[in-house]
Amino acid sequence: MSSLANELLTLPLAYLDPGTGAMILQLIAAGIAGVVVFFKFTGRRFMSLFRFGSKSEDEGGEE
Amino acid sequence: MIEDGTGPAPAGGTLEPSGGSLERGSFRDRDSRVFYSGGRVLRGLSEAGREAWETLEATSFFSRMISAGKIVSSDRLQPEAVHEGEGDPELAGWSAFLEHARIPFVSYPYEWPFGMLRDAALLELELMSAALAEDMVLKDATPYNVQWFGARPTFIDIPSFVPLPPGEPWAGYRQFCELFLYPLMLQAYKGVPYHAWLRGSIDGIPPDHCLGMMSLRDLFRPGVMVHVKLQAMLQGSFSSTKRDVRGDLRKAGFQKELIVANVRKLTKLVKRLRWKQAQSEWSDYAENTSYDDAEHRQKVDFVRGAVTDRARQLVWDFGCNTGEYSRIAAETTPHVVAIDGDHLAVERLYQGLAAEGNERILPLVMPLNDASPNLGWRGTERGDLRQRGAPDLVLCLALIHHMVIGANIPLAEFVDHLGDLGADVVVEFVSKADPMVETLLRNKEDKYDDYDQEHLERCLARLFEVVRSEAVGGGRRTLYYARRR
Repeated sequence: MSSLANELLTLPLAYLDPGTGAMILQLIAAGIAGVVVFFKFTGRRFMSLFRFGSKSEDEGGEE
Repeated sequence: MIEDGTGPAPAGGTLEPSGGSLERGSFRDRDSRVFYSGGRVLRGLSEAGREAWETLEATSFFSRMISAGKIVSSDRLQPEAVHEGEGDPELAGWSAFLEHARIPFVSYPYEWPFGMLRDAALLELELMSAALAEDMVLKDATPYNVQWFGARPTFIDIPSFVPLPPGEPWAGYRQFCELFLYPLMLQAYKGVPYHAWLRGSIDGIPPDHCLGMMSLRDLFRPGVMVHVKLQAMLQGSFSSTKRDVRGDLRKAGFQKELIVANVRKLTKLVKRLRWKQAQSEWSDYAENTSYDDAEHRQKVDFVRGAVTDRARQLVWDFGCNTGEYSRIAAETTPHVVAIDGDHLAVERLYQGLAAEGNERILPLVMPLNDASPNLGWRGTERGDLRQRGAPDLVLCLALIHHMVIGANIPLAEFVDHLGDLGADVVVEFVSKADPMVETLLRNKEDKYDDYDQEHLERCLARLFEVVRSEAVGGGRRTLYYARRR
């Protein structure tokens, strides 16, 4: 991760755990606006995203 | 989290070096802490908290929302004022201090009727929307950050506003769902009151628990598929991921506009949520069904006489029903807390108060034989009623038969409880000959020998001086006005 990104993550944001699933869901909850980002984020792993117990979302790095 | 205390706000001056006390519920955010000093509500800010405050102070929405009463009025204290207080350990180590206006009586979402939780949610979203327009965000989204001046909600947690880093999702979204959206959905879609859920779980209802209550049909109701079903599934599949989701979201192009769109859609969704029963079922709610007009007037006059007998700051109306006597108390009292176990009655009261812009009467729903206890971390994060302010008068009209016969509480204990509050009381005794009591006893064995007028008078006399009593309704009911000794 870049130092800029690291710095951003230290900003006074989260004494609260935003929840990993809840962060991703915001792409869907945003509706049309989130579609492009959603597919960029999920890439080929789209189908495995909602599979319970799936490990595939942990695999690989950049799409 | 919970920020403000009770009583009026004294103005200006310097901090007092001693006598400060921490607000026990404000520990979660390390960037600020609330404490009370000499009757004032103060907040220490960390370095990061001070920087966020300085950014917030420069925005246009902040002053606009304060003027509109939607954010609690807050002022930065002068450094010399802080210097005065350095002898107090609670004042040490903070980068800056704010002083907030005091909230007349702190209340919690598990005490609010549906309309109050809904209006608090809409306030939260409105502030989010306004903040986003100026590149700030609310870093959390909890109803405990909303408090009330009567029926007017105000946001109290100033350090929740922080600059929004580019590419960062809304950290408070899940909390918004668990503490606002799911409870509202439960009431609106399932007819299940959320109060016990919120009282039982300080962090709200998790997505999978909410999903467990939804039927197939419910998945097609607005918001359920996305905010409940998909969120529960994603939470399940990502709970132990090692992937840097925040970083990946940023790389994928996550931007503020997505939060704006989400907030806009959530606002529309919350506005659509309605508690249908509250809209349709409203008949037979007059409390005094066994009173005729003249008797009713007599009761009104009696209560008014008791309220105005002394200057009052805070009146509690136990068993307020539709709030008729709360309104009489509020004619001459700045703050009235109107409490009833009947959610529908309190909802109606709130809707009426909100429509007229009433800022004196705070309507709360809770069972009076099981009123809000101390809760949360070390049992001090959320206080019971008494810790949030002492009443100087308590009204108990058409209540005592519900407590003794309905809830099996010994009459002497009920009077002792009133005595513990340290306030004057108005008590209405409803005899067993009254149709209301007959209804309560219809399916029960009458083991209530202690439910007796003379016994009540003896109990009252131990702790109170009965100033006035009047028989109403041909002696079926008796009103007592008693001063605490």
